[in-house]
Amino acid sequence: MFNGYGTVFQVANGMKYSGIIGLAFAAILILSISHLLWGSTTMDWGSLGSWFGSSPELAATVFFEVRLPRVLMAIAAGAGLGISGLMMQTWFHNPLAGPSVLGVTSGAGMAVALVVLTGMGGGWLVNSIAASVGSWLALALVWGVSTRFRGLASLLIFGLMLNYVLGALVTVLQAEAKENALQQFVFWGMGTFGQATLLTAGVVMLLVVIAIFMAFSLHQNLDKWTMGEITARSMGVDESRLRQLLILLTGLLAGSITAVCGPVAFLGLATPHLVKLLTPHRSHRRLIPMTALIGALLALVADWGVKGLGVFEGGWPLNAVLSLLGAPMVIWVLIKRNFTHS
Amino acid sequence: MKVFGWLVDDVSLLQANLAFDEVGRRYESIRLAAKRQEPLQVFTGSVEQGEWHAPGGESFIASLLEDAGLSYVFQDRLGRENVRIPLEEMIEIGRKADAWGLVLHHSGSELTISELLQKDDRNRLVLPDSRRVFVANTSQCDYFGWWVARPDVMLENLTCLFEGSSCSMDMEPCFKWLTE
Repeated sequence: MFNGYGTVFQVANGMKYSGIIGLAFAAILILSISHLLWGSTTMDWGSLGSWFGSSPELAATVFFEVRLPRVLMAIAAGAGLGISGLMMQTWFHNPLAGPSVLGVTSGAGMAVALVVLTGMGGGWLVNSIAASVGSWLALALVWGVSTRFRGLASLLIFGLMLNYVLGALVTVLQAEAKENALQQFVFWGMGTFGQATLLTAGVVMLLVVIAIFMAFSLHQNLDKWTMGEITARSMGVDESRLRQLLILLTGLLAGSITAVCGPVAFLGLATPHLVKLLTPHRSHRRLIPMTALIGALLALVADWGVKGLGVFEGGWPLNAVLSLLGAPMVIWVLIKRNFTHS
Repeated sequence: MKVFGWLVDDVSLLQANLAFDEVGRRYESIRLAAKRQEPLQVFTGSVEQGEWHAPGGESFIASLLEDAGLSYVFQDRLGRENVRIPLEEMIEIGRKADAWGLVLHHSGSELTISELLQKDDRNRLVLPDSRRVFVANTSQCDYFGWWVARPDVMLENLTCLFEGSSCSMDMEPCFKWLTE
């Protein structure tokens, strides 16, 4: 039953690393161009230059205000959350870890719930600022706790408990909220790449590039860490510094992406699994660039589902599409691992 | 209205029937007087997470706008429930439309167009060239209570709004133009 899919991954495993990278890059390019070309507005491509004038034509406004920021945001969010998930899975030696595991996404959610559901604000700008502040506060808390807890499991459990507490507080706020505020919060929770502007997409893209370089600079230590904590320490890995850098990196990525897109599900969890299925390489020097590319690719594919696949009007919420894509992917990894082990 | 009258007693039911018929007659007379040669193009709704959400072509507000002599741009998108429209399509619609109407909750001072644009950066993309925006602010009027129960007054409010200074109402209107 799984032979067909198995063959695809066997072929991918047999390919050279550079071949997979090239294919992923080409697919991102094709998908990006298709997103830029396709839409409900008939485009007069010759008028794009009017964007730089005082009264931009419709095509220029649509291209620079809607399509381009959305594509850039999808690429940045996919790459960023993928890297973030890889870092968390490596650090915790746990395939179920993701950027949300430290409570950063929940921190953002709690802050947005506070401003939206209590009627203190609710505009896009206020939500973004609240999400950033919330994620950084959660990050500061986790950072402080991480200096006290030595074991990985303790930090993981703390992150989970933080998620529960913040989730409970959000539920209390929801129970007390007015109808329109509740509706707005529900929409925020669905996630979207469509809310990005050129400025916000550009800023997040810059942060993601910086984070990828940061992660890449840690690749040797990450490889040693996968051999186990004791081995890594004996090989000279500064555990405390590595932990702080990874928390900072994950918070930076998850916080900035959640601020613009809302909570984005499954990309952080599913991308590293798919990458490890596609390639036999386990060195982070190879895994980091591939995770960034595959994450971006998954985000662009999911955004086609959000746009209704170009077939039906309306489309589905981003988190619904990502969960429908991501969950079978993780299940597939589990099945494949079980087959391999048996 | 009729159900509540029926629940109380026969006298209340009779009073409810009379009141209901009066609302219906008044609504019809305002509707007939409101017909325009070239109806203005009006859209409603707001942006949520990068998509436009607006009442469908068979909704209460759609009927109200049509009866006020206006042309509702989503009239052909059938259904009573909300419709979702891609933002880029809304930019085109906004450029062609004469006015934008929305129901919102804004406490504090009177909402202005600049505050509406600050609420969501995307609002400036759909703002009609005429910069005409009318709102029903639920913090200032009981839109979902008294006003919905009196569609004749709501229709009068809307027709007055588009007729300009020559029209006035006996009571504080719910729909108002936003100022800059």
